[in-house]
Amino acid sequence: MNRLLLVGLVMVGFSACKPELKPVKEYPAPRPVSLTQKPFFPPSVVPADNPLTVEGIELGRHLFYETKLSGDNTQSCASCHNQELAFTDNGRRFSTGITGAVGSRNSMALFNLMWTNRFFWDGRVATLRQQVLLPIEDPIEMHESLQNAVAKLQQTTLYPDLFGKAFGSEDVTTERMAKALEQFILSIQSTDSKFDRFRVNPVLNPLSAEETRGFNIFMREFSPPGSGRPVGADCFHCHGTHLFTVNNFTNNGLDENPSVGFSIVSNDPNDIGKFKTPSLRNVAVTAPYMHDGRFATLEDVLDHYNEHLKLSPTLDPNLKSQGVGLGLTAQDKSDIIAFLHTLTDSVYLNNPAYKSPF
Amino acid sequence: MKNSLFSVAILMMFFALTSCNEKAVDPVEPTETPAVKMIIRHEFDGELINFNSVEYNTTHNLISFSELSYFLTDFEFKKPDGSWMPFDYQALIMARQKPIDTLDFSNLPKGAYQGIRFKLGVDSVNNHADPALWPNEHPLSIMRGGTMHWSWNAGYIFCKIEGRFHKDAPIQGAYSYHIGRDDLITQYTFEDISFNYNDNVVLMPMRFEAKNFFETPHQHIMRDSALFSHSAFGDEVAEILHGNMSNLIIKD
Repeated sequence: MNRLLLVGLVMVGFSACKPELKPVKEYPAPRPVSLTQKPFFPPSVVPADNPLTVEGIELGRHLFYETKLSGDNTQSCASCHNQELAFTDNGRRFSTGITGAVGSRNSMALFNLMWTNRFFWDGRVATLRQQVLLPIEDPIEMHESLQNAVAKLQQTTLYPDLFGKAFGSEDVTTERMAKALEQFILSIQSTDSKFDRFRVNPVLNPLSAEETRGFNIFMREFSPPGSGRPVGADCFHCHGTHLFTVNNFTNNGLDENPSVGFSIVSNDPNDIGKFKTPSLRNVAVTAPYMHDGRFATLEDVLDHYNEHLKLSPTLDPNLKSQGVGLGLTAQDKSDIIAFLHTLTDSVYLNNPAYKSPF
Repeated sequence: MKNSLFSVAILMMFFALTSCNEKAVDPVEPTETPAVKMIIRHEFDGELINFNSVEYNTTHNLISFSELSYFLTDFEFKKPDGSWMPFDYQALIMARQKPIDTLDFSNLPKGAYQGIRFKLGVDSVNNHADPALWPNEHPLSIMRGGTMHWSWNAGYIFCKIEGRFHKDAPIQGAYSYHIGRDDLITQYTFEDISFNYNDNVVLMPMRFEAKNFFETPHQHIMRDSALFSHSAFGDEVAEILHGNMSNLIIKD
């Protein structure tokens, strides 16, 4: 009797070291994806604990377009993020969830997110991996518990195999879902616009005179009317670098009493009214504009900066210093918009690697 | 016999269970690692700057700070033979995030030094090179200092100071001074700093005195035409403020 007890104790002791999960089926290691650095873009930024793999990205693509992740199996991430419109929501100011509830922020474009930090318009989430799960659970969006979502995927014939290929075993878990979605979204890049081709070879891919003038106004500092200096719209201060965003949070003068914005993260009243500066790449297809989609057209946006800035305590000093406005003429605005159209990347908008696998 | 078997089994179980744990780390007495560090306090009139919330008196304005950022580059250390030894180091200081910042020169070769010099700004070659070529963690990378770059043409903003001011209170305005351009780089030389670096810790306390930006030696008065500068050629505000910048960093 005692011997049996002893053997039992020893077995318990040793078995405590064994892993809990044992793969039912052997899967080869996923194949790593190495992204080539594009001219003028920063080196790739990929989390060390979630390197991009062919199989991980493919699983993430399936999940992105998977309606089973919503409470009534009708909506996927792609329902509010349409690739042809830079993954924005089909011109809608706000998105509608499965219950018919309407959100309060404009659906954000998805590209080049490996070069950004903090997510959502108010920056309330620090990593993409955290971000991707929140719309699933949000009652005004996909309104599904992660537990249910995992169970539904596990019951399919498709997903256990996709998870096995991506992660080595067929277990569907929340963490693996988040990692796969993170991989897919990190793989979405927009680097091949007319402007990109111009930068690489301006002789072969010139900008028009109108686009060039628009670029110069975009990139030039504001000078007060009558200063004798060329007109400048000062856009680059927030939409600078080759990413066309400096990844800051700014109060761009939308309201005299702005809503919370980044202050919800920082708890600093000096951040009230500051929202994430979006990249202007593909901006011609991402209407409407601003965190609340209040401007329907690029013309409306330029009119705002040109003559309708609202003063508030946290207004960006670079905007406040403009005083009465930029002083842009109709031609100046038209030229800037012509330049902005050169940032549209049709290769990205039509890239089959980002399309629905279903 | 049964008892000894039982004891062995208990011992084996104990080892089996404890083998799953991470290795225990022996407590180590903290030791002072050899280091050379420059500690920069960002102050206004001798007081650590409290960003956004506190207003400070210049001669002509009551001001607050919302941002104070700058690049330090081209570090050199003076050797006993009088020559200056280049030291590959660049720093992007963002004082709003770190009002007291520490630059770590611990890779400096051991030896005796009789001075240090560096520049506030970025040399002409790097200033106009593609900023995307730097590794993402490098101070000159746009991933760290995107707000400190003028994109395609002009290079880096060497020093950015922004905030608010009162002029004839209660009228409140904003100021935004972005000093850059190849000819607006500022050299700092401290030949009264000497030290031996062997197995010791060397600390160099310094002070960034923001009041001097507005007042020393040139008085800068904020008024409608002087609330901002982007260092365009012919910009008088940039010239005046650049003239004050050699007094910004002081040995404490």
